[in-house]
Amino acid sequence: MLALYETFSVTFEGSGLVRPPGSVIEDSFLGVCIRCGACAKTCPTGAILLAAWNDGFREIGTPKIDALRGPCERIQGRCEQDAQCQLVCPTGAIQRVERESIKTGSALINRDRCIAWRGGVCLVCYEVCPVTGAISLERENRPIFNADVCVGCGRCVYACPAQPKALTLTSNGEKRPRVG
Amino acid sequence: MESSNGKSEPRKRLVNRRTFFGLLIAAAAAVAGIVSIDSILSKNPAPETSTSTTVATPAATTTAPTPTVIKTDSSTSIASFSDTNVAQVVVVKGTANTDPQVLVDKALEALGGVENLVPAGMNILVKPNVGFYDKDPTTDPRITAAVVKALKAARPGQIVVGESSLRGVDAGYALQATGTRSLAEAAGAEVKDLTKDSVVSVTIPNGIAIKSVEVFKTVRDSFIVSVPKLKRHSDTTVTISMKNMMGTVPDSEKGRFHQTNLHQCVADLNSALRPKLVIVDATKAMTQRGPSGGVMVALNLVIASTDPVAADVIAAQQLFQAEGVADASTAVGRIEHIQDAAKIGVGVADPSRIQVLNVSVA
Repeated sequence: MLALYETFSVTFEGSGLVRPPGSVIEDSFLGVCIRCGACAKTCPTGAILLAAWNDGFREIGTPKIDALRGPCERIQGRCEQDAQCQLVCPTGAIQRVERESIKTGSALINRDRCIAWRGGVCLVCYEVCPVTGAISLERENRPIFNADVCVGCGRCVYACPAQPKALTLTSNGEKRPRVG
Repeated sequence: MESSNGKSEPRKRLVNRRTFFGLLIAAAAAVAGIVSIDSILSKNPAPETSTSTTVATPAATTTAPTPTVIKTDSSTSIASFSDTNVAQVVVVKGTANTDPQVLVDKALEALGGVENLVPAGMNILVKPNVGFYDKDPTTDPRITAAVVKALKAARPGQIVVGESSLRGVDAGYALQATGTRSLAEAAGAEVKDLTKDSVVSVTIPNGIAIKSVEVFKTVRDSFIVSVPKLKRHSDTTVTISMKNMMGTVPDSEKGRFHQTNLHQCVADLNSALRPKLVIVDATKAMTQRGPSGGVMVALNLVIASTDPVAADVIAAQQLFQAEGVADASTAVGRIEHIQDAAKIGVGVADPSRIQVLNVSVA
């Protein structure tokens, strides 16, 4: 019974989902987002997924970035001019934020899984990172992740060739606007 | 439950049997309802389809009109280089104002002329480096277009400009954003995001780390012209004509190379899919760091050869010299994938067996 209760409360509380770039602060977001799914449909990389019940009961149907499906291209790529998700959002749950101020979260490395940290040859994360200084190199061949500089685009996570992946995208450090 | 007189009575059922089964069925129906609502609510747009892994077998046709004879390169043996073999590399130097077409034309002329380099009727794959969305880390689209235009003189079957970029970089968008698509199409090529191609398996008889590799069908069936950008690289020291060939395999294979041994896998790949002609875009080279975020330096060079190893050696020397590296030749000797490739017969890495022809144009 206790185990059931534990699972149940995790389901209700949810976990820190990575939200589309420019999403308003979480408490407001859950009220403003109407779960229409337009952002997910329009995202050019397919990075936006709609949260399911295991992401939290209140979060069901709201958009989250899943870096395993694709990176967010607001920082570099097809959404440099405008975040496509923001353009189609009918309620302002996703607001227009200057590209320089975007931070959807930060990448987190598991060195036990990283090919480079295990002695192999790989710096794909470093190669694809669009932000100078978010990933630096130790001894010129192992990546060090600087969460303060990272903007949370998820390119590194998507590109990581380790199996299982050595990188995850978290909402740590996210910067989100207030409503209005 | 106690009765009023203090004696215990047989336990009274809360529900009778009918009610119990009714409740059970209602609970099951509720669960089924919740599950179906959940699957509707969590319906997501389909993710980007990954590269097709099915091999497309061409359907047999009863009538087969063939106005032009299309030949495919069927040679499977790797050129092996004896000790007496000397590789030729042409280095064409221009100025900042030299037309890229002039640089490319001069290079091909010095190598013996495009009609002698490419058999007529071949399907050609021009493989530029379009691994990123930006111009600095990618082959100058004017060079790519110039190569396409120059190859027309060989009366090829079809010229395809194709790329599969780094995992997560959309090759279709990269080809468009860099200007490669418009210029290459104007020059007469078909421009392809190779990730939309079907995938076939190619064996690597001389492979050391890998004995077979999956590649895009267009690559296997074409005369390969590697048109890389001269750059530094965080993993392989430099990325030139051979590292450029990683854009001919699907993302899963790129990953396998990193999981196995990147240097040897690049060499092995090139032994099976050896570029028959290399034209290095060294008009602007990426120095200090790469494959992105380095310092761009105008060298105004195009480096060409029919030997990808020799081309990479000479191009790397040029890069190191531009950076002011003390002993450029020795530094090149330490580049693993180049040495690995020479060892399995992809080409000549020994500078004493590479003949460099320097050409200057206004």
